[in-house]
Amino acid sequence: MTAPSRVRAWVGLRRPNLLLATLVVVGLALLDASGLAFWQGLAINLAIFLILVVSLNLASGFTGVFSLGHIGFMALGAYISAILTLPLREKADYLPRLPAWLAGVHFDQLVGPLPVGWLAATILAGILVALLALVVGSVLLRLSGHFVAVATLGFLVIVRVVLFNADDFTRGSRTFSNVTPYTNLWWAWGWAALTVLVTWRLKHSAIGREMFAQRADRWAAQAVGVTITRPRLVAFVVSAFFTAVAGSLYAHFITSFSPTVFYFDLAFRVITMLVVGGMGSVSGSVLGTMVVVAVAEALRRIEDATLLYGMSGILLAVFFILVIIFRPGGIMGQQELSWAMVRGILGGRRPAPATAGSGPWARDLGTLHGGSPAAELPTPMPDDGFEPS
Amino acid sequence: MLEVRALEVAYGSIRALHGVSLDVGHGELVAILGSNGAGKSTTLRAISGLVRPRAGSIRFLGRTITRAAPEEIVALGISHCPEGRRIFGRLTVRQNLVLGGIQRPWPEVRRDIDRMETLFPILRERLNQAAGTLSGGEQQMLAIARALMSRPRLLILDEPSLGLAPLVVEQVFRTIAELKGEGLTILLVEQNVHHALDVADRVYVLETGRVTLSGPASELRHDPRIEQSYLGR
Amino acid sequence: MALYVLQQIVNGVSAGSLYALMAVGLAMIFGILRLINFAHGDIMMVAAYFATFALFAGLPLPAAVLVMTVGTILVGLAMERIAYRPIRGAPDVATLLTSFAVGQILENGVLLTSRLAGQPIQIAFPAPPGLDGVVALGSLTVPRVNVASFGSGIVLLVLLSLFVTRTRLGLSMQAAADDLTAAQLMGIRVNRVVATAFVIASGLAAVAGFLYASQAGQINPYLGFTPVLKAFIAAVIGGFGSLTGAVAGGYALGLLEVIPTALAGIADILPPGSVSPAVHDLLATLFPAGLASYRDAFVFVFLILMLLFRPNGILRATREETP
Repeated sequence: MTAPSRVRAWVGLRRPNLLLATLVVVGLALLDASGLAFWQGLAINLAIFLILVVSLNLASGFTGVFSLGHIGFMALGAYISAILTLPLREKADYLPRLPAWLAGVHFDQLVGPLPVGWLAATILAGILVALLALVVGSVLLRLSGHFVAVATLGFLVIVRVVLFNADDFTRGSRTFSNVTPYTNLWWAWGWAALTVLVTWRLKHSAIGREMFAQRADRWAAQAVGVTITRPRLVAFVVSAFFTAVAGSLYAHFITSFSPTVFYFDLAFRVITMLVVGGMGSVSGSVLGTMVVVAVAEALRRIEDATLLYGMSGILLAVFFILVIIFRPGGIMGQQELSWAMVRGILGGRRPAPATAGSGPWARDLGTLHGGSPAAELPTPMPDDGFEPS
Repeated sequence: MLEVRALEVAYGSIRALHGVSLDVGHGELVAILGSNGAGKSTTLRAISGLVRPRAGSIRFLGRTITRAAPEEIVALGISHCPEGRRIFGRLTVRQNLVLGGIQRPWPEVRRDIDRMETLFPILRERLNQAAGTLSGGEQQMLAIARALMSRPRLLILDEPSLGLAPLVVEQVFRTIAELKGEGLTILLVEQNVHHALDVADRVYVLETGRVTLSGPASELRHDPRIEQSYLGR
Repeated sequence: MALYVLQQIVNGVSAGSLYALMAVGLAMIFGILRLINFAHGDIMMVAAYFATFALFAGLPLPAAVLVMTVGTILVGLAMERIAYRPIRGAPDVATLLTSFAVGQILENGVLLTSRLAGQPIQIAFPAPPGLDGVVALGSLTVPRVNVASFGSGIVLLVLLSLFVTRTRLGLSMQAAADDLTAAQLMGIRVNRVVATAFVIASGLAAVAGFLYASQAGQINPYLGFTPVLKAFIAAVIGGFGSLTGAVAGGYALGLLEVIPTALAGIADILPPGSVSPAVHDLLATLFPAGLASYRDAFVFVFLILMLLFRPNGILRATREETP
């Protein structure tokens, strides 16, 4: 294939995709011009969540290794980029005790209307966080199941404690404000599109297949030569990069925040979107995010009207539990939405139920402890004396 | 006593049993033979309620138990001594026996523990030892004793000879023969064809989830097809 | 100097009692169901709220404790029946996530109820008269609450131990935790065993909640989050699933936590002249006064190390659970 056509193939530039992309761009342009601040804000929020959910899907949904502490990367991305982009004068006033090497930098340059300084700061923050993820991942990703989930939760707590205490850098528990609101519709959705594209490509690549293989049965995968940690680590690091980017986008959107923002409630919200969409499906993540953001927004309105604060949290959690019980594969399971599928749905045909991982759990197995079917077939126990391992 | 009809069991998308039927009559010792993966253990687990069949029926003493929970099935009088013995290694021998009789009133359980000590003298000395420290053969005896604590009408034994030395296997089968002699109905799954045929009244042979052969042990003992079923066609 | 160390140890043991009570509950449920119940911290929180409102309503202490315990146990049982029973058999991650969702329901539920009752988010816990003030033990001053924590912790854990080893139901629970399939084949009634586990765990968490509220002096809907993580660490230290291990782990964690707090600023606490200036400076650099606030981070780094190198507990070298 020639170079340009290879690029086109990589980006997936086929006619239906082009059409979709054009629609989205036109939609964004209209929204941008409309001046409806509320809807613009919602759209930006949606894009940021999209990045978070798709990244988490990559790190956890693909590999089956649940990272509960991913929001820690977002927090770091937010703080690093915000500290970098503070203009010199603000830096001096606002963060007076910054070490000299940091106090002197300011990523607030503009080239025409483009905030290249912010772009550089975002990318830099992403890379730094990705490097941290490389270290953290090499350590934690050997674990599985609930152990890795709790270990990553520990990571989140550690990040939070560090952010609270390093107040020379972060102002500790005080609000970090004065952040320039660089984030707009185009940046948010641009990054979101990139995240979706990269994740999609990864899923359909060799290393992506390794990620899914070692998810289903790690012993079997090891037996056929699929390394365990490499695909996990790649997924973890790439996803940390984009999660940090989301942090930067977020920081420069709400312009003031503190470490409490990046904690468990947000993590749970992202996890809900991931599960609803389907762990392992990129298009599922897009759908799941849209559904949950819409529902959450509607519930928030009701809360504001009735003053029943807390109700939206309860209902979302109930919704989550219902999904886990009745449709644990989420909307898409591990499958991706394809144009054929869309045409089928529009033509009135009901979509075929997603196969693996979408029915209620114990029906066929009838056992009490979950596991792959292979685990249930009886195996002979070893000899006299020693404990079976 | 036990009627299994057209049993189909699947683990997810893997079909393990494709319509298995068998009977066990009062006082009989019925053996299920077959190579690894034939579906023998699956059949037993379905009978005990550990696995829910996709189709077919299981009736015991006239009652349908196809979808019953394990605890109900034990209450009805079936006791399953599982493959690999699965004794509670960190509990004592005595505690294991107590658990075997968990559904029965305490005074009876206490008497039965004494009875087990007589039946299985090997256990008497080890009563307060951690069960995990017993040898393989002793563990098998414990597992059988534990299964008997519920005073079952039907005893299911899943591969009792597995992993045991030949001399110990002899002991185990002597015990099984004794139990049969006392009138206990037994359903036995075994890979050790020779011993199974010695002690059984009737035999079923399972291959890849289907019954391919059945009949009295005395007739099938010399049937070349039995050997074939293990070596494959 | 020795007094300082003793004081810290007392603090550690007192906190350890709380962790032990919580960790035992976690380990019990995990042992049988392979479920890490992250909503356990919220159970503790719910107990604190029950106690608070009972005391506000004017109930005397014993009645308030009773109301709190019964209410908490009912919540725990409901939680098991509604949220966890339908997902028995699901993979680890699904049950873990569900427990988080349950936690969210409890937190928001309490938030909502609190608000409807006209209360602020943070409520001051009405210190019960017998529990405030300090007690002098030799030259140590120990807050009464700490003594109560330690005392009730020991009593309850001894009772639990008796129950688990001496009763048939307790034995069934041990069996179920050891090998659930074999236990089922004995005819052990799984639902009853699971319900008992939740009753015990919730009851212990209720006591822990009461003690926590007494120590902290105030309650809010989110107070359960860090304790449950710490309880988890304690259970891991003791070898996950082992009840005695969980207790030991709880006390070990309590003492472990004390280390950064004790070391922080130690250079200044040492009597002058007891160490050379060089050592003094070294200590001041290594353990600055600000170290104390890094306590939680320290604890979690320890957790990660444990999960990596000793996932089956500090003592055992091998067990079934492969991380």
